[in-house]
Amino acid sequence: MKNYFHQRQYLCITFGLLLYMMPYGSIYAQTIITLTGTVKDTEAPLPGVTVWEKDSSNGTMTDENGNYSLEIAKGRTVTFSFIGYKTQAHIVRETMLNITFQSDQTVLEEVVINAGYYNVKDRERTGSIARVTAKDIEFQPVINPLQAIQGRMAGVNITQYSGIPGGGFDVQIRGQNSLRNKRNSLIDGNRLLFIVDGIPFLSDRMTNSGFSASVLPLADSNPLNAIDPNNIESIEILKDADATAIYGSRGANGVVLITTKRSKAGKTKFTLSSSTAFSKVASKMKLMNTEQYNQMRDEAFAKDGIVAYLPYFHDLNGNWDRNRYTDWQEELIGGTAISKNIQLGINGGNERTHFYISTGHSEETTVFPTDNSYKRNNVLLNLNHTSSNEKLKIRTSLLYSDQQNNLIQKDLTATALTLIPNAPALYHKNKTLNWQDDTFENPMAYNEALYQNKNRALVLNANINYQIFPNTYLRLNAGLNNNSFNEITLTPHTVYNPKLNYTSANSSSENASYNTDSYLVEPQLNWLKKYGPHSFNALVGGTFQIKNHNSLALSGTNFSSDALITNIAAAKTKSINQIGNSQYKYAALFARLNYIYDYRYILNLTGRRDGSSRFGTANRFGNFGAVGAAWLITEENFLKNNSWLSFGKLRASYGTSGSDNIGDYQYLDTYTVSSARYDEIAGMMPSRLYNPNFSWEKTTKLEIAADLGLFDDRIKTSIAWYKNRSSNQLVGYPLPSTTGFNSVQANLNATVENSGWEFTLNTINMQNRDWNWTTNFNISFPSNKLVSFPNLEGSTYASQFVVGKSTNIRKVYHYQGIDPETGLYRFTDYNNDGKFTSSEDKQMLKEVGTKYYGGLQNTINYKNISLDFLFQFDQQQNYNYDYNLTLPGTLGNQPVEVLDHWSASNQNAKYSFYSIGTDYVLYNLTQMISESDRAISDASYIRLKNISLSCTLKVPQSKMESLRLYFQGQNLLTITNYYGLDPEFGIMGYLPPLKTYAFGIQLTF
Amino acid sequence: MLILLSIQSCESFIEIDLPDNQINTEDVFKDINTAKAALANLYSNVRNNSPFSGNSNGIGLLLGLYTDELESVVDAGSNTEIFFVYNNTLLPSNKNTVNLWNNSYKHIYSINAFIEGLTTSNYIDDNKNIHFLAEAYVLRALYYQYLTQIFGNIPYTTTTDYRYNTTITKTKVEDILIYIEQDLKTALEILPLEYRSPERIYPNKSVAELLLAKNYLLQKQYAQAEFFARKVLENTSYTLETDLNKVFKKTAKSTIWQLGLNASGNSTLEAATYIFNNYPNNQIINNTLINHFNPTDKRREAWVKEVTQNDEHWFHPFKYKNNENNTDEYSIVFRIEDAYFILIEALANQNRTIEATKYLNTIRQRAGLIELHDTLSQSALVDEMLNESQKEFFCEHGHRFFDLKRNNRLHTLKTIKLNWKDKHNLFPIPENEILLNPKLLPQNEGY
Repeated sequence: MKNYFHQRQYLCITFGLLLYMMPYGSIYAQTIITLTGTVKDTEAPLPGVTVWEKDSSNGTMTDENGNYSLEIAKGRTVTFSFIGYKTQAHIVRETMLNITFQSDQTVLEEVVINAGYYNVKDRERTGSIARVTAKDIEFQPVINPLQAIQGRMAGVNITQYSGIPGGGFDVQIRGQNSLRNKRNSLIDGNRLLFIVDGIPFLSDRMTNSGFSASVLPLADSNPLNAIDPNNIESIEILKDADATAIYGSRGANGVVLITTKRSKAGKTKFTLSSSTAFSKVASKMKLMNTEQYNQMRDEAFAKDGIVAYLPYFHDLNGNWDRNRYTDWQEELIGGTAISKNIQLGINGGNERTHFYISTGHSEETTVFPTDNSYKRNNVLLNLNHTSSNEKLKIRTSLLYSDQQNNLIQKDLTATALTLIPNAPALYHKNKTLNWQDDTFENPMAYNEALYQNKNRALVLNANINYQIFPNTYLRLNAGLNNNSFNEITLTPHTVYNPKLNYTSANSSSENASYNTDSYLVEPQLNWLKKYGPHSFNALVGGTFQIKNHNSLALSGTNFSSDALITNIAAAKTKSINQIGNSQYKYAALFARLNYIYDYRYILNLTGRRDGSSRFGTANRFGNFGAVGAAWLITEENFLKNNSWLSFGKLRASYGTSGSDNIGDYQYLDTYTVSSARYDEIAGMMPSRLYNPNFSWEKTTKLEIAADLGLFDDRIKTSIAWYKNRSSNQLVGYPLPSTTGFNSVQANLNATVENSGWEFTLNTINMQNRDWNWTTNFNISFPSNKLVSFPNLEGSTYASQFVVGKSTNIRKVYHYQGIDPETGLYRFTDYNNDGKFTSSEDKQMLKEVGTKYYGGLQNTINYKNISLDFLFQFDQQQNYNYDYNLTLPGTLGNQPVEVLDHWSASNQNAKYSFYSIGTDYVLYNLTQMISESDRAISDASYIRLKNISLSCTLKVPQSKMESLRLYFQGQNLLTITNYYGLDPEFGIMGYLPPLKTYAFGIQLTF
Repeated sequence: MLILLSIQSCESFIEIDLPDNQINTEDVFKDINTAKAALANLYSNVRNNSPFSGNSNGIGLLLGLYTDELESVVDAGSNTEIFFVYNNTLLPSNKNTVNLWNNSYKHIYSINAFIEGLTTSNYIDDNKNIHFLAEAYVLRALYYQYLTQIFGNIPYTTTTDYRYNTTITKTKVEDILIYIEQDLKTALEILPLEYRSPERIYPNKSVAELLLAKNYLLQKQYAQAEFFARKVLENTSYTLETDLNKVFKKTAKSTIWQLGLNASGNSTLEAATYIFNNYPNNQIINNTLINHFNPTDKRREAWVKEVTQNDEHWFHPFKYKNNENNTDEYSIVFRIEDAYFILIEALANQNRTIEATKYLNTIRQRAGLIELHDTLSQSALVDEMLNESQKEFFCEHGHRFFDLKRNNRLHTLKTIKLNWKDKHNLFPIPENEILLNPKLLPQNEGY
C-alpha cells in the first residue's frame, strides 16, 4: 500500500510541474548528456511513462513506442514511474538506459479495455463497458460463448433457448428497446451488434426457412455458435451512450466485442487440451404414472357419460396393455449427451513477428435416444508484425469454423411430457419401430427424419497502423465475414404410420442455403498530444460496409426410392421455394475526442454520421453522438491521503445511438416473384405496403455511475444508474387484413424507457503466498416502461400495450379459481356480457420478465489448485406449465399436480373435473387458462451455473512445461419453485439447458 | 472540404440494386409479360388459399363441415379449430374463419393493385390490357360475392391505400351486391365468349354472366337472374356431360371455369384433401348425405367412394379421383349445372314451377332418377331443388350453405346439426380485425 501511495503522490507532483518543464530544463550544468532508452513492460513498450530527474523539474514522457530522451547530468538519479507499476530509480552512468517494468502484485494492475475503435485504460474509462476474459471463459464445456458469460456481467441478460447444441439465445443488454422482438417479427429490432476482431459478425437470423422450428426454438441458431469459447481472449460489452455512440446506428442495443486470442513473443510453445463432458437434462417434471393416468381416463369417461371407446382410444380399448408403464422422460430425453473437445495451440515468434495458431474439434451428442450429433472444427490464426523502426504495426487474424449439426427433426421434450404412460414400446425386439398394429404414433418415427445444418463462418481481419508523424497514426481496419448456412430436412415415408401405406412417393426433402458476405473498410486517423497537464486523443475515421446475401431453397417430393432422398434432382415433383438476394450498404464517418486534464478530469466526445441503404433516399442519413465525463476524485487533494478510499471515479454519459434493424428494401414499392405458378407463368405479387418515409430508430441513453476501490483496491465496486429512451420505433405497424397486409413499415411515435441500477462488487478476501480468494458479485435491476404512445387506444397495439406499464406485460384473462359448485374454472367477465371475448375481457396485466438478475462468483486458489464457482440468479415471472394445459382426461399424460382435481368431495381443487373433451364449455375454459394470469407465475431460480476445479502441475525433468487437470460442472444445481420443466426457456416445450460434468487436461510444452 | 467530399461519396456509396426477385411496381406495368405475371398471381391465389381452394382454406371443405355434408373425424383435442367449424361452435378467434377473411382481403388487395397498376400505366396498349382488367373485375366480384354471403356486412374497398383501408367501415350487403353487379357489368362489356386459353382456365364472358345471374338471385331480381342464366345456357360451348365420371375431367364440356395446376402432375387440392386409402385423416362424408342418395342415383356411384377397414367403413368425396399422377383433372369453379340451378331457382321464385321442373328433371335424368311431376307447389319445388343441388354440388364451394341460405332453409339443419342456431347464417367477423379496426363493430349477432 505504501508503494502505491508514494507513487501516486509522485505522479501528481510531477504532472503539476510539467507545465514548467520546458523553460527550466537542464539547469544543472555538469556533464550533460542525452539519455535515451525504451521503457517496456514484460510484453510491449509503454507510452506515457514519466521520466524524471530526481529532485528537479527536469522530466519528460515516453512516446508511443516507449522511447524517451532526456538531457541529464551523469551521476544524477532518474526515476521512471507509471501507473500500475513500482517506480524505478537509477543513477545515470551511460547514455542509454532501457527499463523493463515488472508487473507487481501489490500494485493495481492496469487493465486496458477494448472499446472497439480505441483502447482505454479502465481507470480513464468514461463509458460503461463490462468485460469477461479468457480466464473465465476457457475450458467451459459449452458450445456458445454466450453460455460462458451468462451471469457474469451486470446489465447483460442471457437466456438459453434449448439444451440442444447449436441452438439460439436471447441476449439483452439493458432491456428491450424495440417493440419488435423475435416473437412478433421476423427481424428482431433488439439485435445486438457483434464485432469479432474488428469485423461486424453476422447477427441476423441465420435462416428464414423455418425447417428447424420443431427442433430449435424459434428456428433460431445463434451465429456465435461458430466461435469456440477457447479461442476468445476477451469479450467486452458496450452499454451506455459514451461507449456505443461511436457505433452510431448499430449501437442502440449494445455492442459485443469479441477479441480472439493474441500471439506473444517468446519461445515456441505448444498447448494441447482435451476434454470429455457428460450432460443430462437439468430438470424433469413429475408426471402421472399409469395407474393415475388410467384413473383419470376412467373418471373422464364416467363424467362425460360415455361408455363406448372410440376406435382411436388405444390406451383403453385393449389395443395397448393398460398396465404398462414407461417413464417417457427417461426414455425420450433421459439420455446422456457426450461431448468431446480437443484443441492444439501453438504460439511463437520473435519480438517483431509473432503468431498464434489454434485448431480444435468439438462434438456433442444429444440426450435424445438417437445417434445424431453436433460437430465443429475451428481454426484461429493470429499474426503480428512490427517494422524495425517500430512505425508500422500489422495485426491480422483469421477465424474459420465449420459446424455440422445433425438432429432429429422434432424435439421430443413435449412428447416426453405428454405421451401416455401405457403407450407401447418404441422398438420391437429386432430394433424396428413398433407401430403396435398401426395404433401407435411412434415418436421415434421422427428419428427416421433428419434435420441437418452446416455452417461455415470465416472472419478475416487486418489492422494496419502506421505512425506518420510523431503523434499521428494512420490506421486501416479491413476485413470480411463470410457466413454460409445450409440446411436439409429429409422426411422419408418411413416417418409415417404404416397404416397410411405410404411409399417413397410420399417421401420428401428440402434444402436451403444462405450465404452472406460482408466486406468492411475503415480508414482512421489517430492523434495523441500532451500539453502539460492537457492530454488529447483524437480519432476520425470512416466505415464502408457492403453486405450481400443470397438464398436458395428447394424442395422435392415423390422419390422412386428413399435412397435417393438426399438428391432433390431425383424427386418427381420439385419446386424452388425461394431464390433471393439482397444487398446492404452502409457508410459512416465517426470521430472521438478524448481530453484528460491533470489525470483528474476526463471528457470523451464521440459522434457518428451514418448512411444506410435500408431507408428511402430522403431518410438515409442520421447523426448520433455522445458526451462522457469522468472525475477521478481520489486524485483530488482532499482525498489523496485518506487511508480507505484507494480509488474513486464518478462518471456520467449522455448521448444517442440508433438502429436500422428493419430488413432490406422495406421502403421500396415493388412486386416479388412468387413460387406459385399459373398456366406455366410464375406469379408476381405486391411485396408490401408502400411507405418510403420511415427513418432511424433512436435511443437516447443517460448513465451516472461511480467506480470505487477501497482498502488498496481489495474491494472494488461499481454502481451505475441508467435511463435509456427509445423513440421513433421502427415497426411493422400491425394493420387489419382489409389493407391487404398485416403490417406496414413505419416509425411509430412511441417511447420505450429502459432504466435500472447495476451493481458490481469484487473483493479480494484472502491473499497470501499460498491462498488467494476473490469474490465477484453483480446484480442488475432493470425496469421497462412504455412512456408514451399517442392514441394507443385507437391504434393497432391496444391489445398489447398499456402506457405507463412495461412492454413485457401480457393482457390476459383474470382467473378466479374453481367454482366449488360446478367445478368449472371461473374468469372475470370484465364487461359483464356473460361471455369471454379477448378484446373485452383480457384486462388483467401480468408482466413476463425479470425483476433482477445477477451472479455470484468465487475463485479460490491454493498453491496450484484453483476452485471457481458461479451462482446465477434471476428473479422473474414467466409462463408456467398451465400455459400448455390440455384438458385433463383427454389423450395425453399430465403432471401429478393435475391429480388435485374437482369433485363433489374436493371442491377446492386446483384443476377442474376430468373430461374426454365432449364438454366444450369446459374445453373452452381450459383453453382460456393458458391465456389467463394463472399461466404466468414465479419462475425465479438460483443456479450453480458453473463450477470448476483445476490443478496445475509442473513436471520437472520433462519437456513438458506444465500440466493442468480440471473438472468443470455446468448447471449442476437449480433451486426454483417454478411449475414446469425448467425456468429458463425461450418458448416452452423444448429441451431445457443441460447439466454437464466435464473432465479435461491441458498440456503445455 | 474533405468531409464534404466524403459525405458526397457516402451518398453514392449506399445506392443499392434491387434484388433479383423484385421489380418496381411501376416497371411491372410497363411490360405486358410482367403484368401477366401479376395477373397469374391472382389466379394462383384463387387456387391455393382462397375461399375457392380445394383444401382446408376453402369453403368447399369448411362449409361442408359447417353444414351437413361432411363429418370431422379429428380428435377433439388435436385439431380443435376445424372441429369447432364442424361442431358449430365457432368463436370469433377461430383460425379457419380468420384465414378465410385474411386471405380474401389479401387477394382483394392484389386485385385492386393490379387494376390500379394497369389503369394508370401508359405503357401497355389499352386494347391489350382491357381483357386483363375485365378478368380482374370478375375476380373481385367473385371474392366479394362469397364473402358477403358468409360474413354479411363487410368492408368493401377498391383502393390500395392502407390509410383508408385501416379504418374502413362496413358496407351493407345490399350495397355490396350492387357494387359487384357494376364490376360484372363492366367485365361483361369487355370479355369475349372465346376463352383466352382453350383449357378454360381464365374467365370468359359466360363466367361473368353466371356470377351476375347469381348476383341477381341474391338481389331477388329473378327476371334478371333468369336472363343471364339463360345466356350461359344458350352458349353452345357448354353441354351437360352424360357420363358423370367425365364431369370433373379437365376436358369436360360442362366446365365454365376451372383452375390450372401449380405444376403439371400435381393432383388437385380437392383430391389431395378428400381422398384417403385406409383410414380417414380428417373428414368423411356425413351419413345424412349418404342416406339422401336414392339407390339409383348414379352420382352416389360416381362421386362417392367407400373405404372399408376392419369392419369399419367410411365415405369420401370422389369427384376428383387423381390422388397421384394427375394428368386429366383441374379444379372446377363453375360448371354448366350451376346455370341450370340458377335458372330453376329464378323460375321457381317467379312461380313458373312447370318450367323450373323441366330443368330440374334434366339434371335428375342424368343422375338416373325418375322425373318429377310438374305439379309441385312453389315451396315443394324449392325443396326438391335443394335436395338435388345437395347431391349435385356436395363439397363444391359451399353450395349447400348458400343454397339453403338464399332460400331461407338454413334452419332445417337444426335436426341434423344439434348446435345449429339462427346466428349461424353468418360467420363471426375475426376478432383480431375488430381489435385492429373498431369501426368493424358491431360483431355479427350472437357471437
